[in-house]
Amino acid sequence: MGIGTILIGLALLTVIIVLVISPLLEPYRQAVEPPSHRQSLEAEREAMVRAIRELDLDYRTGKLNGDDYKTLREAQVQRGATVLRELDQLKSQDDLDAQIEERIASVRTSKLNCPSCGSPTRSGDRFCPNCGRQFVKADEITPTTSERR
Amino acid sequence: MITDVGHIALIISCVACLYAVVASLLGVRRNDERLVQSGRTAAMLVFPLVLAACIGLWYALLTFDFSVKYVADVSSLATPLFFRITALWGSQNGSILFWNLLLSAFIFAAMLRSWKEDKELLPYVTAVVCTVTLFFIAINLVAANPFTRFDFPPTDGRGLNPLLRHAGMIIHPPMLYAGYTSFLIPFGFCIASLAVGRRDNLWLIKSRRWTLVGWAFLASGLLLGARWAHDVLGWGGYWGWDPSENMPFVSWLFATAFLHSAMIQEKRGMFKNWNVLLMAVTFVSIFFGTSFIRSGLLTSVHAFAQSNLGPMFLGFMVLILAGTIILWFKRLDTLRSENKLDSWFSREGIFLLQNVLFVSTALTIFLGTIFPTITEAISGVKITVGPPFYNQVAGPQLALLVILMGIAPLLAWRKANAQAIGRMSIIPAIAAVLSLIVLLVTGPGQIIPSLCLALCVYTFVQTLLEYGRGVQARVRTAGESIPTALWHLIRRNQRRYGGYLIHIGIVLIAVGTIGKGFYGTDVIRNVKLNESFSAGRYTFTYRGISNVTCEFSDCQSVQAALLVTSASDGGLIGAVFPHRDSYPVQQYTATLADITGSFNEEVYVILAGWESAGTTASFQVYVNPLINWIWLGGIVLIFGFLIAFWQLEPGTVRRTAQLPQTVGAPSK
Repeated sequence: MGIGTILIGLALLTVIIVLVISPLLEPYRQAVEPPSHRQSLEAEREAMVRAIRELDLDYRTGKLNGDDYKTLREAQVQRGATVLRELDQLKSQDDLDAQIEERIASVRTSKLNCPSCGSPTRSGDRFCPNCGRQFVKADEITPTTSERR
Repeated sequence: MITDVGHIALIISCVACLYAVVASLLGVRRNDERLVQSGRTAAMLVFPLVLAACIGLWYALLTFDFSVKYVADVSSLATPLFFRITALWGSQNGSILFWNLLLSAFIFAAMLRSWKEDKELLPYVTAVVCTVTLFFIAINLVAANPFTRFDFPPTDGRGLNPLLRHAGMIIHPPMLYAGYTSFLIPFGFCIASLAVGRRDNLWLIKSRRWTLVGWAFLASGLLLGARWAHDVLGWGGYWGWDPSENMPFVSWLFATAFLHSAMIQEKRGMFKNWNVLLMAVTFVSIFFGTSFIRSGLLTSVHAFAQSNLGPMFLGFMVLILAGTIILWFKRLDTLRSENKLDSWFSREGIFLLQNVLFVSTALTIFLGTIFPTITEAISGVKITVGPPFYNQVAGPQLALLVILMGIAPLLAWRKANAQAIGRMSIIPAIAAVLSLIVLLVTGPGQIIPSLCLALCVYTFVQTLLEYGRGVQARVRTAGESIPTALWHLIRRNQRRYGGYLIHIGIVLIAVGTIGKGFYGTDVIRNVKLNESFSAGRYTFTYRGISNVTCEFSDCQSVQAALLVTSASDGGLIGAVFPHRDSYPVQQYTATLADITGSFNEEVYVILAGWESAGTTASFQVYVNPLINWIWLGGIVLIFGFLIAFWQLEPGTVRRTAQLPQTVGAPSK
């Protein structure tokens, strides 16, 4: 094996190492998120749609009589409706989570103004850098009677 | 240099595989997505690395680098370019490298897809598929290295095995290997689902396309192998119950059982346990078949692939099997059925029966295949079971499966309607009875094959009527024209109607098998120059032999000429030129048939021998009725697969389908 071959081999190895370790240089992310119920529900919805289509086809091609067909289809549709409801609930929960996260992000990045002198301040400041007015943290505010209610 | 770089690339691919396994599992343990992604990248890189190794070996083959032992074993200066390319899988070491290329290509494709929806399965799938690939690459490096060099290279090689110099060899091994290797991906999904402990059908849905692809590749590989054996081995047949045929057929039967029972899990949430076991058994049977044939434990026509790899293969297979069983046992609680069987008289019921038949047929063939090995291990004497065993034991079970193919589509899920089945069976039953009468009156009059063919007619007509009923329903409800209705029917139910087309393909193959098996005849005659003899409806007149130029420069060919006329009216049908090719270097003589006749009746003539420079010669003539239906059935089967596979894009139904909101029957 010549020196040229060894050099090409080393170059190949270097390229592979660079490509393989590049994901490791990114910031930490969780690998395993809590198993999502959504996937199961979506798969079930898919199966329900297929099952109802097959029932319709079986009925239209004369393999099922009217009564059996009605009973079986009703059961499938009701189960499908439950799945759809659960999916809707998950969706609205996800929307709410997304809204909250968006709000937090905007508060973190937004610049606030001092209520006394109007100078710009940053989130987390305890005093105004211009007039020295003390700010009160959100969690230090005591809810009023109406807010409690 | 390029060949050596290929060797280095193979070594790096082994390290990449090992890294992918470790990084993926460590990623799960530390809950670190970066490690999982790093493992995924490593798994994907195995493919270009193994491809580089293949290019290295191809380069050696194309440049006649006989310092590489493998090149000297499978090629020579006389080997044409085309066969130097296919020689990559022409012997053991190269074929394992080619196997690794396919394995890594499938892994690359599987890793390339979006894992957003099933992220939690990714590290386990990576770990499983890369562990198996690591084993095969390690074998390639340690025990079957195609890059080993001679200290003193020969000036010429031995040339490719004459049996492998056939167009079928371009495509038969790649098809079969692709079938074998693509099952690694669904197996990976199955194990990953068990490892995560999912209760749903996600693994089944996500691996469905892979299973279908593997199944179709296996079927094509088997059919092409049968065609190759028919053309090259000079025996008039296409299937000899050889271990190299039996083992992939066993895997195909398990895979077919899985494809059907997977439908029940998808539709009814049942058979979860059974499906996991079937997938594991399919994969292990692939591994077992490969290891047995490659190790030389089974004597087969694939003698070129024999070696001492047996213990390594078997050890790893036991490891896979034990790991799967332990995992399956630990997850039994997640594999409980969501529903019970409402009625045995339903599609689920008949699928269960058909599953039992598939598995029992597969086990029968499997036991017959390994029987000589078992008897040799116990008593020291190898007792072989021949074709009569398989024909008598597996034949009836396969016939029952053909009948079930005709009945199953009539049964609805959960609860079938006996009256409807009776009504829908009238036309196919009449067709079957009529064909039985015609066969008994006008045919050779044998009862069993006539009955079998009549059953094939039943299933064929019933399946065609299924299309008719679907079209009729659409014409009635949607007011569509017949071609539009057929198009919409298939488009909206591609899996069902693609499956029916596959059934038609299987029926055609069954017809071909019955025709050749029961009605086929063969005649051996020693004749003098210009003497005639008859076989079936044909008369052959021997016109002499001559030396002819062989297709390959390392072979000598002798060709006989026979005139073929009709035995009844003496009309000229044509001429046949069977020949024998001798390969002095390989000390092998190939008997190559010439074929004439019609689509429904093949006449297969071989030159068995000659004396006194051709003043007398021996010929064997096989008259093979309906054998071409097997190849036609194969084409139909693949077409059916394409229809079933076509729309199976992930999420197609989910994106487009809306659940019907109303309860009740659609208007008729």
